[in-house]
Amino acid sequence: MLAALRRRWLREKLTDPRYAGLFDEVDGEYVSLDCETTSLNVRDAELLAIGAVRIVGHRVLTSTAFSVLVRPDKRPDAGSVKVHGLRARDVEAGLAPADALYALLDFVGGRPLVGYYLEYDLAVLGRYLKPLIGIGLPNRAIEISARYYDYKTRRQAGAHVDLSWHALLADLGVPALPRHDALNDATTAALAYQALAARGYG
Amino acid sequence: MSGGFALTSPPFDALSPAERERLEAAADLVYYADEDEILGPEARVDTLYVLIKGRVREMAGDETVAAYQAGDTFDARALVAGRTAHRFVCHEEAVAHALPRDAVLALTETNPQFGAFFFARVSEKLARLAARAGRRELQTLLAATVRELGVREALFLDAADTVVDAARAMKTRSLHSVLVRRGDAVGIFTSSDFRDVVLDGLPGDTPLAARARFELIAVDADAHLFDALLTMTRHDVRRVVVTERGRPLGVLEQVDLLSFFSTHSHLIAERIDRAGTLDALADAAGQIPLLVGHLVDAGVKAPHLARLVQALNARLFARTWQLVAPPAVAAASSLIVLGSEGRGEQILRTDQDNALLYREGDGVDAAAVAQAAAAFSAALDGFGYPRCPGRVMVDNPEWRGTPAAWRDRLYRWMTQPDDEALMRLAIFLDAETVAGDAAPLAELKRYLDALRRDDDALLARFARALERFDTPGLIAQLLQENAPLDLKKAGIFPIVHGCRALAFEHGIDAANTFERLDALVAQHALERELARDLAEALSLLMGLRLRAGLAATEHGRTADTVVIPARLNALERDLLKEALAVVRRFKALLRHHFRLGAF
Repeated sequence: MLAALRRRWLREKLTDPRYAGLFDEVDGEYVSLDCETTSLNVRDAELLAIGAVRIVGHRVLTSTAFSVLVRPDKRPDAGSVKVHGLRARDVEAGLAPADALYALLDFVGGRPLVGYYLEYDLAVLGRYLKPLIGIGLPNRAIEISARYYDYKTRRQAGAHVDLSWHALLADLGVPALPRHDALNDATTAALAYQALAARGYG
Repeated sequence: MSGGFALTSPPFDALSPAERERLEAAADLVYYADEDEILGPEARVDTLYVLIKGRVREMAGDETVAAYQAGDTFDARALVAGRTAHRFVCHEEAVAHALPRDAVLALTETNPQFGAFFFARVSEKLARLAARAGRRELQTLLAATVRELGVREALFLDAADTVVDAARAMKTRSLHSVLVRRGDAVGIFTSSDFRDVVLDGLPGDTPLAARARFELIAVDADAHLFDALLTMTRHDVRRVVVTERGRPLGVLEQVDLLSFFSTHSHLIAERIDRAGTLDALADAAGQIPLLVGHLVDAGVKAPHLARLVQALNARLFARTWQLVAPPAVAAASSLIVLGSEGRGEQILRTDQDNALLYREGDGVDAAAVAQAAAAFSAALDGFGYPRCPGRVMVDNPEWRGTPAAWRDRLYRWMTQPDDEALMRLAIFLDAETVAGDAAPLAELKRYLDALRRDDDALLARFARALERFDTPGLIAQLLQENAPLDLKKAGIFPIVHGCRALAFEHGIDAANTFERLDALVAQHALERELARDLAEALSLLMGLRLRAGLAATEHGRTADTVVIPARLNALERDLLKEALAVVRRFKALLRHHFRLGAF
């Protein structure tokens, strides 16, 4: 009920009618999403890379994955370079932020989103999107860490659940790709989502 | 790229970096939960899976016939066919690369080594493996080019000429094919096209243009013989057109290729025939294992090799018998080889298995024959062919005799079939004459056939030996690291004995298992498909056994028949699994056919 209200409200705030399709939820398909940014502060973090991959049934469609580098207005700070390995010169060849985001919108369409600590990614993306289309991504968001928490506590109420990425993947038996590459992280998250879905927590 | 997981396991290690990158870019990932069906008879197969994690089992009905683990590929055969009769079920949460069929098949066209994995029959796949492993240096045989081998000059006919013209020309020139000119285009018309002409009821004046195939399968004159063999295998043809700068030069026949590989054996054969003393023979005999080593390196398939070694051994035994037996004894006797030697399926030296048939009179008596037989067995021992522990040898009076004595023996084995008698019967059924008159042995086999017709229950008792050893589906081996597998017990013996029993039932006197299979198909006693699978499986198992044996003898151990599946690479394991699945299918069929459950 509240979700429906929120969606109706967002739909009214959408300034670009070309993206009305974001509100038409696609059945049986998902997009796993991950961003690399200049810092971990939502308010001033700048996008460096976006990776996204569709999930359809048993498949993670890596053959048609979305992977772009974004040219930031500010240089990546030294601390974040250590995490994502994207130096100023690496992202110089990237797309302008608006181009990258319009392309992402086309890629995502009405599919629900899947991610690990997706809230952060959505907040950063939202900051970029609002000037463009009036709203952030309105799609239903499935938080992997939350679904994993449900899965663990449903099996053993009150248990301590290690929500770290590493522990979660090891427990679900998902093979991990090298971290902090946006597409790799999105792909691993997609597999983790499928492992959760197979356990009834999709 | 395929979600960042690299494709590095065989056969993808045969791809160039650019090819691999392209394939990875076209790949998806898939996730399956326990008991999800991945491939099945209902759906088209448009994907090749390469496991990254987890396990998958292959099911034929309710029976698990194979298991796949990380690095394994499934299922090449289904991909090529576009369908599968088996179900591939996730056994343990699986993540895999999903490679699109078109991309994989395109690579098989452009990368012959990779293509070999898909199109080569099981046996050729093994030869490719040996070549890739580069175990020893590349042999001259493989490096030789089509031009060096010499090409049969092609006979050109015109497209307007008739099929009868072609038949006449091919007969007079002893050709299996002619090339057909149609303007600038060149086509080929082969002996198997005649079959279709007859089947389709076409008249003799049908122009060649109507039947010749103008999409030539060709190799360049400077291509390696190995490429030519591969091209034939991939397109399943017996001959290819040889071109020079795109212009047809002639035709290369598969039989020429194979005989080229075996010509090196002629030198040894000549030395054997010329040898005047046992010492000279011992020298020539010592060349045979060396030749085997060379030919294995050259990628010659185990069944071909076995027939070659059989031919050489037969000449060696015959010449030995001539040297040790007085002329009267030699003239009155037939020397017979038995067991795997008789079947022509033995490559490395094993025990002597032989017997003697002789006529008495004209100065030939039991004592004279016994003396010659003892000398023969001793000579072979000296050449490095160990004495048979079961004493199936000419110097054992039970394995020599006059035709009458042999009849009594066979009658006894057939009418009092205890385990010992059945084993002897099996050994005898594989007999081949290598020196002297072949008629007495043929006569004894006919006698045996007549006895068999009077006793239906005997066949079931005879076939029951099939149950002696279990054929695992390899699952156990995969789960239990380093568990050994006896190739002979699990695979070779069931195929050989099963074919022997069926051949016995149908009065087929061929001793070689591949020939028995052909004869069984010709008599509609066996499905063509199954016979082909069995031949491939046997070929593979013989090859693996040969390699295990060579490795053992290199390390100074006696050749054994055991491999450790966990130590094979993914491709070899894949092949072995396929082969064992075929053996299990064959055993199930025979169990039903001979009603073995009734005992």
